[in-house]
Amino acid sequence: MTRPSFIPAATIAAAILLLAITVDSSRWEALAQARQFFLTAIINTFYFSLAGASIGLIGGSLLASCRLVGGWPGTLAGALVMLVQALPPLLIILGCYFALPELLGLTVTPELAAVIALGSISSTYYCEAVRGAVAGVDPLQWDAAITTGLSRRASILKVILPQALPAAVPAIGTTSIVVYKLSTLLYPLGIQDFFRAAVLVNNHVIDPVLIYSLVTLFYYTTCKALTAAISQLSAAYVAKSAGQPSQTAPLTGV
Amino acid sequence: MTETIIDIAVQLAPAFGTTLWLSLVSLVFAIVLSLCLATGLAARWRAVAWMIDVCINVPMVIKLFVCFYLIRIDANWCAVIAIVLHQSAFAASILYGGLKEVPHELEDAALTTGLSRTHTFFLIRLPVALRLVSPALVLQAVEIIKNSSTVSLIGVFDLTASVEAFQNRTFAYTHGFVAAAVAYAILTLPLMSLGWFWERGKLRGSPR
Repeated sequence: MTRPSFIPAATIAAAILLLAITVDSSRWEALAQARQFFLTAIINTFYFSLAGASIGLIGGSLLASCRLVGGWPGTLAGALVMLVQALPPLLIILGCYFALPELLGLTVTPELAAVIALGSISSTYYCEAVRGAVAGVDPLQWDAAITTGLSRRASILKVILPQALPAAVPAIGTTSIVVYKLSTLLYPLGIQDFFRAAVLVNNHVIDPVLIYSLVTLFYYTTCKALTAAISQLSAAYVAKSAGQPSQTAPLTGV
Repeated sequence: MTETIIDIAVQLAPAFGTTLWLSLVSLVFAIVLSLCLATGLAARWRAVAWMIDVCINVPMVIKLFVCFYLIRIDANWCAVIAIVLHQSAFAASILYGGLKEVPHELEDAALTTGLSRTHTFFLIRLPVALRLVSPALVLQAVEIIKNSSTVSLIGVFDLTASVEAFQNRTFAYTHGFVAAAVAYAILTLPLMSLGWFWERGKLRGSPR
C-alpha cells in the first residue's frame, strides 16, 4: 500500500549528523553523566505504555463485546466510550490521580493512576477499532450464519469475529502507538518517563537546544520504528483475513 | 450545593474563555494550514510530506515544549503554534486521503471542458474531497479542544490549569474534576455528535 520511503531514515541520519557536528564534547559529557537516569526513564516509558496498552486491550474487548451484545450493556458501554473520548487525556490522567482516591476511598499512587488512566483512555480507542472491524464484515455473512441455524452468539463467535479480528490488527496497532505517545502526558504525575527525565535534566544542565532536539529525535525514531513493526505485523494478518479490506487507522493523536 | 456550583462556575469562567479562545484561534489557523499542506501533498512536494511525517510522529507535548523553550515567545502563541502544527498535520493527511478518493473521471471531465489544472484542483477536486471527509475533519476540531488542555503544562491558564488551582485551594478534587469534565463536554460533545450524525447521514444518503 505505502511504498517504503527513505525520508524517515534520511531525517534521522541528518539529525544525528547535525547534532554530532554542531554540539561540542563538553555538552555531551554533561549529558552523559545522566545516562543511567535516561536509561531508567526509557524503560519506564515502555513499561507504562505496555501496561496501558494491555489494560486498554482487555478493557476495549470488554467494551466492544458489550456493544456487540446490545441492550443496556451496549448503551452503557457506548455512553462510557463517548464520555471518555469527549474529555482531554490530560484531564483524565489528573482526574485518576486526584479524584479517584476521593471516590474510591483508597490511596492511589501515581503509578497506579497512570496505568488506570492510560488503560481507560486507550480502551475506548481499542473498542472503536474492534467495532469498526466487526462493522466491516459483509452483512451477508450475518444473514448466512443466521440462515444456517446458528444462534446469535454462535454466529458472532464462530463466523463474525474470526473474520473481523485479523482486520482489526492495523487499527489496534495504531492505537498502541497512540498509547505510547500518551505516556508523555504522565509528566504532571511525577512519573520519570523519558520526557520528564529530559525536562529534569534540562533544568539541571540548562541546554534546551540539545536536549529538546534529542527528545524530538527519540520520539520520532521510536514512533517510526513502532509504525514499521506494526505495519509488518498487520500486513501478515490482513493477508490472512481472506481479502477483508483493512480498517482505516484512527487518525487521532496526542 | 447550588452555592458550590456557582462558586466553581465563577472560578472556571475566565479559564473557559481562554480554552475557547485558544481553540478558536488554533482552529482558524489549522484550517488554513491544513488546506495548504493538503495541496502540497497532492502536488507531491517532498518537504510537505516530510513536515507532516515529523509533526504526526512527535507527540503534542514535545512540540509544545520545543516551541516554548526554543522560540521563546508568549506562552499563548506557543500553544497556538504547537496545536496548529499538530492538528493541521493530521487534518491534512485526512484531507489528502479524501483527495485520493475523488474519482479520476471527475477531473478528466473538468479538464476536457477546458478548465486549467489549478482550477480543476481548487474548483472540482478539493470541494468533492472536503465533502467526503468533512465528518472526520469535524472530529479533528474536537481534537483541537482536547489537545488544548496540554497547554496548562507551559503555564497557560486554561480550564485544566484553573481546575488544578481550584483543587489545590479547596481540596475538593472530585468537584473540580466533574466541573472541568462538564465544561469540556459542553465544548466537545455537540461537535462530536455533529460529526457522527453527518457521517451517518452521508452513509444513508449515498447510493453505496
